[in-house]
Amino acid sequence: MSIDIRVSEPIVGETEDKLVLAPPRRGRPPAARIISLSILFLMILLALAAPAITPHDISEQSLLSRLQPPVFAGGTDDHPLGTDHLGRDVFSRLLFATRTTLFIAFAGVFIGVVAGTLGGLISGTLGGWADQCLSAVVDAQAAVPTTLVALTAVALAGTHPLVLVLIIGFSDYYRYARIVRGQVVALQGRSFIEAARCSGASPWRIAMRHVLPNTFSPVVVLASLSFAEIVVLESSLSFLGVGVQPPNVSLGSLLGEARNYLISTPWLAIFPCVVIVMITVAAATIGDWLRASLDPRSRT
Amino acid sequence: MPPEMPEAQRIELRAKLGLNDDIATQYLRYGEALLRGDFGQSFFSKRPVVELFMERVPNTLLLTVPAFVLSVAIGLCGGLWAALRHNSLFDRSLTTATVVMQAIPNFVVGIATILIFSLSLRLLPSGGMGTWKHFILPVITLALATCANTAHLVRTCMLEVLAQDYMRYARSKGLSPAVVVLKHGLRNAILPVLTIMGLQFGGLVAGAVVTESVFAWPGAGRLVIDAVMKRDFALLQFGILVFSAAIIFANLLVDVAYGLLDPRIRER
Repeated sequence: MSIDIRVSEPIVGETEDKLVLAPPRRGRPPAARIISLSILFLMILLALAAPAITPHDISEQSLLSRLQPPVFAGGTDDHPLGTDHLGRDVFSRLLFATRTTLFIAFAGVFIGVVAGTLGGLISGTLGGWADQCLSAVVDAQAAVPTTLVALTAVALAGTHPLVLVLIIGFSDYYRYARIVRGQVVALQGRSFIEAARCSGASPWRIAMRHVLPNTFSPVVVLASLSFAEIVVLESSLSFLGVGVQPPNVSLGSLLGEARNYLISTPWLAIFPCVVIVMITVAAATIGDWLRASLDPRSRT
Repeated sequence: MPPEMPEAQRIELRAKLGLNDDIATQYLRYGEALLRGDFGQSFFSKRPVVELFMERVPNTLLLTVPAFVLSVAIGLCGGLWAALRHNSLFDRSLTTATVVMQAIPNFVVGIATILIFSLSLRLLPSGGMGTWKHFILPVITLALATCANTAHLVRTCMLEVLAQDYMRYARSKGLSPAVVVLKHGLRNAILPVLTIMGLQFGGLVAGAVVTESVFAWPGAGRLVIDAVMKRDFALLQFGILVFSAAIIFANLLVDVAYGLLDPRIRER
C-alpha cells in the first residue's frame, strides 16, 4: 500500500535555472488533473455543506422502511440512495461519512506535517546524540506497517475521535521527519547558509528562515501523496470496527456495516466504495502531478 | 469486565490477573515471562496465546505466500515488458495503473471482487475457507495491492540499466536478447526492487489483516483484530511481536539475497 516516494534534491540556488530550462515532462493528459481537482473540490464542498443539505438525520431510524432501494432501482424520492438495515437514509449518512473521513484526513496530514517537519528540523539542526535518538525513533516506526501501529495505539488509547485523529496524524510523521532532516543536512554546506552564519545568525534563525523554506516543496509533494494513504488508513480502521465509532459514521464504517448485507443489498457497499475510490484516486493523481512538476529528478 | 459483575468477584479477578500492581511492575513481569518463553494466555479463552496463534498462522501463510509470489510474478513481468516497450500504450497505462492501484484500499478491491465474481457471476465463494476456489479472491485482492508498485519500480530500474554502456556492449557481442535482458539487465536492476519487496512484506501483513476480515478468512490477522476489539492485550502483544519478527526476518532475507545477487556486496 505504500507509495514509492522519491524526494528531490533541494530546489535552491543554481539548480533553479536548470529547472526553468528543463523540457516539460510528458505526463498524463491535463484532463485527469482537472477532473481530479474538481472531484476533490466537489467532495470538500459537499462535506462542508452536509448539515445543510442532508434530508434526514443520520441516526433517524425507521424500521418500517428498512433496506429500501435507491431511486434509480425503484426507490422513493424521500430516500434518494435508499435506506440501510435500520431504515436510516443512505444519502445523508454518505455525506456525513465523507465529512468525517475528509476531516480526519486533513487533520491527520496537518499533524503529520507539523510534527514531522519540526522533528526533522530539530534533529538535523542539533545533530549529535539528539539527532541519533530522534532518527532511531523514526527508523523504528518506519519498519512497522502503519496499520499495525495504529491498531495497537487504538487498543491502548481507545477510539475517542480526538485520539483517532492523533493516532492517524502520527502514523506517518516519520516520512516528513526523514525528508526534512535530509534536507537540513544537505543544505549545511551551501553558500547561503554559510553567509547567514557568517553574518551572525543563530542556528535557530538559520533553521527557521533559511532551511525551512527550502524544505517546502518535498513536504508538499509528500503531503499530497500521503493524503490518499491517510484516507485509506482511516477507512481501513473504521472498516475493521476499530476506527470511527457509532453514532458517527465514516466511509470505512459505512462499508463495514454494509459488508453484512452484501448479498441482499449490494448498493449499501457500492456507494461508499465509489466515494472512497474517487477521493483517493483524485488525491493520488494530484500528488503524482505535483511530484512530477516539483521534483526535478522525475522530469527526465 | 461487565459492569454488573459483583464487586467481590471483580476484586478477586483483578488480583488474579495482577492488575493491581503499577504499570512498571506489570511490564517487568511481562518482560521476564517473555525471556522464559512464556507469552501469557488470552484473557478471554484462557488458553496460551502461542497456541491460539499457531492455529491461525498457517491459514495466514496460505494466503500471503501465494499472494506474494503472484504479486512478484506480475510485477516482474509487467515491469520488464513496460521497460522494453518504453512509451508504448502498455507502458503508459502501467504508470497510470500504479497511481490508481496504490490509491484504492485493499478492502474496496475485496468487496468489488466479491460483488463481481460472487454476486453477479456466481463463480466463486465470497468468504470462508475450504476448496481451492476459496483462495482465488483473497489471494488476488492481496496481490493487487503490491504488484503495481513492484512493476513500476522494476520498470524504472530497468530503464536506467537499459541505457548503460554494458548493455549495448552485451548486445553487440551477439548475445541473445533474452540473455542480455535477464542476465545483464535484470540482475543489475533487481537490487532496489528487492529492498522494496522487503518493505512490501510489511504491507502484505497489514493487508492480510484487512483481507482476512473481508473474506471471513480464519487467519492470524482476524485474531489480532478480535484482540483489539476485546482489548485482549496478551494476545495483541503477541500478535504484534510475531508480525514485527516476521517483518524483521523478511528484511534479513532481503539482505542475504543482496549478497547472493551482487558479488560486490559479498566481497565486502
